Amino acid sequence: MSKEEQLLKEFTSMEYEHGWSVDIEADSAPMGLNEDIVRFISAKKNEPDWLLEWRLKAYRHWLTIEEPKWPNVTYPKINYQDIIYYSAPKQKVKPENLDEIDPELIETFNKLGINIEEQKRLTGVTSVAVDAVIDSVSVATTFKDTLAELGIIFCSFSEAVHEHPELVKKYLGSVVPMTDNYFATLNSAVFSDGSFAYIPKGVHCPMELSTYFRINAANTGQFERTLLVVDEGAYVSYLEGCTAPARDENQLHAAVVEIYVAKNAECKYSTVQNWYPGNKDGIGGVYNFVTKRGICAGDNSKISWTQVETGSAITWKYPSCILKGDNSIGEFYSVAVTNNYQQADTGTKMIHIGKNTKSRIVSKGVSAGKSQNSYRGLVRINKRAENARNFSQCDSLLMGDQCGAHTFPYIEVHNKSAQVEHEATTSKIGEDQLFYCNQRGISTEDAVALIVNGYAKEVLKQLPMEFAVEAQKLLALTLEGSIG
Amino acid sequence: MTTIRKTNSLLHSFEVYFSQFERSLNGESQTGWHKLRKKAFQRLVENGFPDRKHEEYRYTPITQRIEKALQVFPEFDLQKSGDKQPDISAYLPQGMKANVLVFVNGIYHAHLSKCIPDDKLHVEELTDAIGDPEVEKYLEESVSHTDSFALLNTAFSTNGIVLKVSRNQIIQNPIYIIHITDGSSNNGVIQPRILTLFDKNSQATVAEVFFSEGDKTIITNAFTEIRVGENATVRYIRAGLENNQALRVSNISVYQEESSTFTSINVDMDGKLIRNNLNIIQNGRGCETHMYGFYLLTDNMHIDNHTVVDHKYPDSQSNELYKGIMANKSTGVFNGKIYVRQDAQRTNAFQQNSNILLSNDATINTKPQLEIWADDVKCSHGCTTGQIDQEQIFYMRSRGLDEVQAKTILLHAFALDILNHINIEELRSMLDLKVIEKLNNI
Repeated sequence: MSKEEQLLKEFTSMEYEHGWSVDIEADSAPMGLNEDIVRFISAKKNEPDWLLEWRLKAYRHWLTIEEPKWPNVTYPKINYQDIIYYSAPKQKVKPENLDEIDPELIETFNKLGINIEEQKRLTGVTSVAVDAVIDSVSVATTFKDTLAELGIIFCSFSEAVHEHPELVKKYLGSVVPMTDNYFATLNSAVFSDGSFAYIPKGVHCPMELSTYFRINAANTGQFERTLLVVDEGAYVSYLEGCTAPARDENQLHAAVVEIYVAKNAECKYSTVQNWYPGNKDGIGGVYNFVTKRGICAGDNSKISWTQVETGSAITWKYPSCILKGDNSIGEFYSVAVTNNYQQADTGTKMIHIGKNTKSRIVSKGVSAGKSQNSYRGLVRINKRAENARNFSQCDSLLMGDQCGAHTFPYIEVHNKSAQVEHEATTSKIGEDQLFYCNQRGISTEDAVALIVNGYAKEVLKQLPMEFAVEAQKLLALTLEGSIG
Repeated sequence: MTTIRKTNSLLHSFEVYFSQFERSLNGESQTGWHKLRKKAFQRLVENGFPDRKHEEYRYTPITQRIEKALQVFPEFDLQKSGDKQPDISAYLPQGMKANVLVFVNGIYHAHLSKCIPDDKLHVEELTDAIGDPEVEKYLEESVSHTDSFALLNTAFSTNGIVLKVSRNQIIQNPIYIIHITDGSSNNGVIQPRILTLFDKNSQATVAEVFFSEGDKTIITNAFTEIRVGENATVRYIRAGLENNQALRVSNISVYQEESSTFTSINVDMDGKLIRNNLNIIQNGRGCETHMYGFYLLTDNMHIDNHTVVDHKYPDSQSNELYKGIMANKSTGVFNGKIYVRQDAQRTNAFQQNSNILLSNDATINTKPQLEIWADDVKCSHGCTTGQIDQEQIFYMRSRGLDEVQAKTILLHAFALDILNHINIEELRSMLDLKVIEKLNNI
């Protein structure tokens, strides 16, 4: 067996690191979906009537629409009656402090590398405030008090519904309307929990806000909803991480993220997505069908999306920016790595509405094994968007002759002063680059890691420190030995 | 992606039209050819006409436009009514020596056509060529075409030509095909059909040029099939010089065999709504494909260029450059697809689309698309949209040109990148003059 084959074998037999599950007693809704389930979820959360109405409206609309067929992915038909729409780790009362949290749960998060206890003791600007969501509910939010002093609200979505109904009512569905698309509508009907953050005027959030999502229970769909509101002149950097246990069935994750950015404000949203990708034969794994969208509502505002996609059996998401305010800026940096039988159809939408708006797209795809990796992006310059500027670059790297890389850029320009540039390349790792490294005593495998890391650097450097390290490790892990 | 769409009214009109057509065939309706027509029509009924939800037609509402234009559906015998005797010399570039083939309202007119004897070009009418197993085979293949308009053409195919260039033959003079659409008396649908077969090691240049007369709405649904044999070299030029009433859908299907070279140059400057589907399949190793396109849109024009290159075998190349200028309230669409199949290792594919918008009411929708399943490839595409560089204008103005002159020169140069690939000198200068004339009027 040649060295390459050996490496390939080692790699393909490698297991998903976060594939464990913990027996946490869970409180679940019966399987299936109907109006009663929607009412059940709403009742479980003691929601006000307006929200129940909103959910029901979404549910009724959902019944009238069809699952979209256009993405470049294939999967067996999802049976929406085969999913548990609500599952909560059983807890008698809301914990006052972290000592009251189920030790199993704490253990779960320790395994995830998020030490909630530790978090509590750490102080200072470099640390991260975490909201942890397990299955359908948010279980712990750290640093709430420190943030509250600055007027920042960072809590679970259900808490926000009770404590800040006026904010939730105002912004919920303002960026992603409940009728937006099939999965966003489904989410609107059955969303269980998620994070809510509000950064008041002029406040520069001193720490990274972070949410960790984990699907724990079997047959459960995760439908969380994140709403970030960044008021005038404020700044926030938000991180999101996801894992799920290894299971043979496919699990559905249909989340919605909405970001509202007011005048002169800025939001930076980073994701490291590491849902269970299925095993090496493509069995199991998470369907990640997510709607993420931000609006630069005010002048001079900015939204920056950074994503590192390594997990999920199927990834299907397009974090988007609506550049409504004049001089607003949208950015999208993405690394999507697929291996084995993974499929990814991901990209972004940049809608230029305001004057002098700018957007930048950097997408780096890496496909290995038998995976299919697609970039799909839309850049639209509306008629009144004078002097809009866009630059897009999407590169694909192919490893092995069984995988595919696809690029579907849509460019729609309605204004003559716009300057739109798009470029894309597809290639494999150059023999000469590998040779150069080998010649200097670097093994082929290390050389591949080096080259891929260099290839993704432009995106990785956009990540906050804590995440960049994790992302780099993930990349190396996902691709280890996948090239001959 | 499937297309079950409700474009019933147009489809219904064509169903009526088709049964009229069947009746007019008299005893012919039991022939093998007619069975193919029926099959093609059946597939068209299943697919329907594309609406805006159809991915390939999302920017071009062609079905609605045809529906609107055909509110009064024409008498069936329009196809036969093209018996006027137009003066062909008016449509020929001056001083050009070429094999001239003439279609009037979609029907081939042998007596108007003239071939140069030395070139030994073999032209046969489709009705006479039926029975030739090669021709029948290709006709049968066209029934499985995925585009609804190509199916429509096959379903109504009666007339048309088969053009053959035999093995090792080099056609010295260009083959110049003129399509004249005469809309002076009736509305109508015309469906010219051309099958060209270039055998091993042959070489030729073919041009298809579209003209129109009269102010009635004529819908042209053209289907041209080009089979490029092993090691053959074919250059294909297509130009649209119709009036502003023209609605035209063209399907150009190209099949390249091993080591062949195919170059296409597409120029569109007129018409109301033009849609070109250029599909190129590389059926062997070492193929070379070049695609050039230029579109200049004014007023309310809508021009849509869809191109596909399918690399199926190793060691091939493709190179694509499409450039467009959009003025007034016009809409340009470009969609370029490059497929590199798993076996097509060591493929080099390059694609570029550049656009200039001259007005805020003009639109460009572009979608350069790469789909790659092979790893040892070099593929890239680029796409730009912008306006004329102010610095270049400044440079020219500082040398005494006024702004309009400077702009015209720059836009003309932009167009020349494409026009210069036309190797029929007389046609190139005719198109060039047309570009200058149009640019001066913007």
